[in-house]
Amino acid sequence: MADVVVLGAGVSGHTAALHLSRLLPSGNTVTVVSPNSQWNWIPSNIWVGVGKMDKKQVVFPLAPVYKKKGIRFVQARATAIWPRGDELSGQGAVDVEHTAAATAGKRERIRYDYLVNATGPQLKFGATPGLGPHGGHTVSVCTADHAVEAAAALRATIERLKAGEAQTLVVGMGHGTCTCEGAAFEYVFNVDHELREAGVRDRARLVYLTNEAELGDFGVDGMVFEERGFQTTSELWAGSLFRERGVEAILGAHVIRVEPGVVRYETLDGLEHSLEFDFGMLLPPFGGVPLQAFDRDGTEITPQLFAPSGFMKVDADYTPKPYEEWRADDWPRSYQAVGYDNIWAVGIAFAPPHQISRPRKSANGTVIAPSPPRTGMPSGVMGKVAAMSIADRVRKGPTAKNHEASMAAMGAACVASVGEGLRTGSAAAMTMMPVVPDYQRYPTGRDLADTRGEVGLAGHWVKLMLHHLFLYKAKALPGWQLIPE
Amino acid sequence: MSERVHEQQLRAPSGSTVADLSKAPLPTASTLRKRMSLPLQLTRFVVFNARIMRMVLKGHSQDH
Repeated sequence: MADVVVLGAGVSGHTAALHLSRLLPSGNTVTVVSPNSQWNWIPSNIWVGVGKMDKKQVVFPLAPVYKKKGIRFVQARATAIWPRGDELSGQGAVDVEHTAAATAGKRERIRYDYLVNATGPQLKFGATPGLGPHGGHTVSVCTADHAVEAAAALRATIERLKAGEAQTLVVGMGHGTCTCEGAAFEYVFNVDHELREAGVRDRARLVYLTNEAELGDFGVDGMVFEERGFQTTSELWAGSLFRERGVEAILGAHVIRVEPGVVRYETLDGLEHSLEFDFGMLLPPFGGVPLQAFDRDGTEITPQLFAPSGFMKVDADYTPKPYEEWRADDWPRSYQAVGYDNIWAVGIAFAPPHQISRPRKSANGTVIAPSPPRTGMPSGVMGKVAAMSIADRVRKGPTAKNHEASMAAMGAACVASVGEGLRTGSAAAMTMMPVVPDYQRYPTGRDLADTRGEVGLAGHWVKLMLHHLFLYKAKALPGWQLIPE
Repeated sequence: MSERVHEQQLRAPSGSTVADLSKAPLPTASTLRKRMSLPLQLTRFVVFNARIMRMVLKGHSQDH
């Protein structure tokens, strides 16, 4: 009988836990450790952030779902991993600190036979002075609570616009190494839609400030589309939308600091600039959730398991090499941790071998390069793959082969709503196959048949459908496993 | 066109860090209509979902 522990209950960890509960024979245990009591469908935080959805529409409590599925839920944050056990036992263990009000601060050591690290991102607002809602001067949509605050700030801005004041709104990335450009892209066009709906767009200056060197990069090095017999780019496609909606773009920017009403940033030419703003939604860079690792005798072995970024090292090729030598094969397939065949790291928690977008530095040496996105569809697939590998180990023994799902062979959809309403909504909907370009296989890096971008009402319906489908799936309602990740 | 009253040329002033998007293609009135056409968008909805399902079948499990 095996004890499986899943750290994190986001898209990846929650998916892994649900599949484990389905795949493991009875008698085995699944324990989920998460500091949050609620599951959040993060893509819909965008709609909360403009006031079109309530927080309660994008979150639900985890405990009842886990109770129904026979999963033990520990509301706590993991602080340390003992992959070879400790002085008392050779069985692996994780140290956790409880976060629920009733048991806050309580520490315990949980033993495991198999571990899935799906701890997600640490939101590093601290990397940029003045960034973020916790004592900073900008809002965020990274969590449902952040999005509620963002909606209130946006409402206040719209009221000032209605009163006749001119306002500048800046949306984008709060650091040169941020990821999730798609979320900022989506938010800026939702804000545009809100301003138009309120009849105040003409008094508002709307600026998208990003670390992408080109529009349409999205942290995946952009895309090539085939349209009407021509190859075109996501840069041209995105640029068209920006021009049509009158959204200004500042590209290749690293935010140095945010002061009240002023964002100071450096561009790739090394020059420093400032932009005055009245409303700012700037996303933070991500880091790994701080976790230490210890050997049995208490010696710290954190660098063995984790990259300096805090993300866990898995079956990727981490050899440093120039952009021209990056290969699809560098990317992990099984997400099994380096040196430990009973630990997996999935979703944002695994250390990517390198960026996907071309890495760039400013003339001053400042890194201004999007980090690789590994959220949403790929994140769920990784969680499922880890669960399947573990279930096979339990059922067939230690020689069972790992299941695989490389981001260099896996597709993803990015649906960025640019307005809402069943008859009036719109979305920029993209699909890419694969996420990580494979230039050995495809001349443009991706399969042109599946790499597409389109704008229209249908995209809005897709986004709405995904909202309801994934909430249904995450609640483990009947037939949940039939909905693909 | 009221929906596009705020459309700008987005030509970057000299010395500005704002990207010059004045050459980005603008959708025609016909394209804008098609983006909101119910029958056409219903078809696009079906096609988009079919493409997602094809990607799921092709790439979500790469076991050999």
